[in-house]
Amino acid sequence: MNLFLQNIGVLRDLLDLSLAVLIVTRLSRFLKGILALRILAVLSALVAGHLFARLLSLQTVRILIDTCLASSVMALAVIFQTDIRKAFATWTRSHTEKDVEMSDVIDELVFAVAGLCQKRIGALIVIERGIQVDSYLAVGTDIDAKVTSELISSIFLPYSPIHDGAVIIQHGKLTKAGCFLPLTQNLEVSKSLGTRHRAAMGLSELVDAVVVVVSEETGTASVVVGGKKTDVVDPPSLGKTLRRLVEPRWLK
Amino acid sequence: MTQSKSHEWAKGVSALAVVLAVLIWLSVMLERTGEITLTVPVYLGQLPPGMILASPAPADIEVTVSGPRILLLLLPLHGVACDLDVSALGPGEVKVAPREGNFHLDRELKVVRVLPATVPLVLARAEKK
Repeated sequence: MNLFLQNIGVLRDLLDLSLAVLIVTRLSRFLKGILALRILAVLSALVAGHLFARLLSLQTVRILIDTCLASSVMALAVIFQTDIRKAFATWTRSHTEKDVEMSDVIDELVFAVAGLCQKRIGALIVIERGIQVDSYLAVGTDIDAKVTSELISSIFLPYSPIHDGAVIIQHGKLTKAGCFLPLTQNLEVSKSLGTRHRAAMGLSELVDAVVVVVSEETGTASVVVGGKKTDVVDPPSLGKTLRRLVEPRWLK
Repeated sequence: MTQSKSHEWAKGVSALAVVLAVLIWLSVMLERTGEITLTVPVYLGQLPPGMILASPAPADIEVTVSGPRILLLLLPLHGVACDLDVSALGPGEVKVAPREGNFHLDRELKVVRVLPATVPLVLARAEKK
């Protein structure tokens, strides 16, 4: 107890430092890319300059730096007014709403696959999980869009320039389309399976992604994971399979 | 921007955010009031005309200074000294109490204690040849 009381000042300082680090790192997450680095670098340089000027009692330099520091808060608020507004809007959303969003991605996928099966339009959809698939993809077009059944369906329409390939879903977003996947090298795979299924198996042998394949010949959908193909009989069972295989954290 | 590049950016941003937080914390911590005790030499200012110092040169004194820690950090390197003004003193034994102004410190620093509190001096008239 005595030891605790003796060190309470040190503990308080450590808590103070930890909370300061937590607050600044959380706030810095609102900023993105090179802009964040520049702003943080400038602010760090200003605070370091303030310390230096104070240490050496450079009064004029200190006044100049302190003025810059004080006005930087207002400047940042003006520069990022849109982002700040967005951040407050996001804060007000509950976790339940976020889970609903995750579920929306699966629902949109199921709806799109059901439509494609009905029209007998071939499709290849890759859902990234823990391991990144980027290094295994050839060509492809960057999209970065919200996953909607209309978008997926229109990509795979035969007259679409990017229908011949796979669409990639990463962190709940449709990031690429028209990507060529590595074909399976497994000689035991049935010769009746087409290139689309072989590509799905090939990628799933290399990474832990879930691949949904729609056969244009049979109009059936199947899910391929770890090089193994499982046929799905109807849209509800596809939704159930995808919800079991894809955790919400991989769609965030 | 690829996934790996964005991860690198995120790491860089986090590292800079930590640096900024530590710098802010340091600037707050170093503004806290602290104390430092220094042993400083005593210098006598201009002696009154026709007077000499009859006692040995005054010994070093200990002075305790309080103020923002950031100003105390480099204080030992500043060569603080106690400059006593003896120009108005008359002949005989006198005890001069050093005051804050005698140490020429920053305005934000305060002298808390001086040991010994007074400096004994003996002044005598210089003999004319």
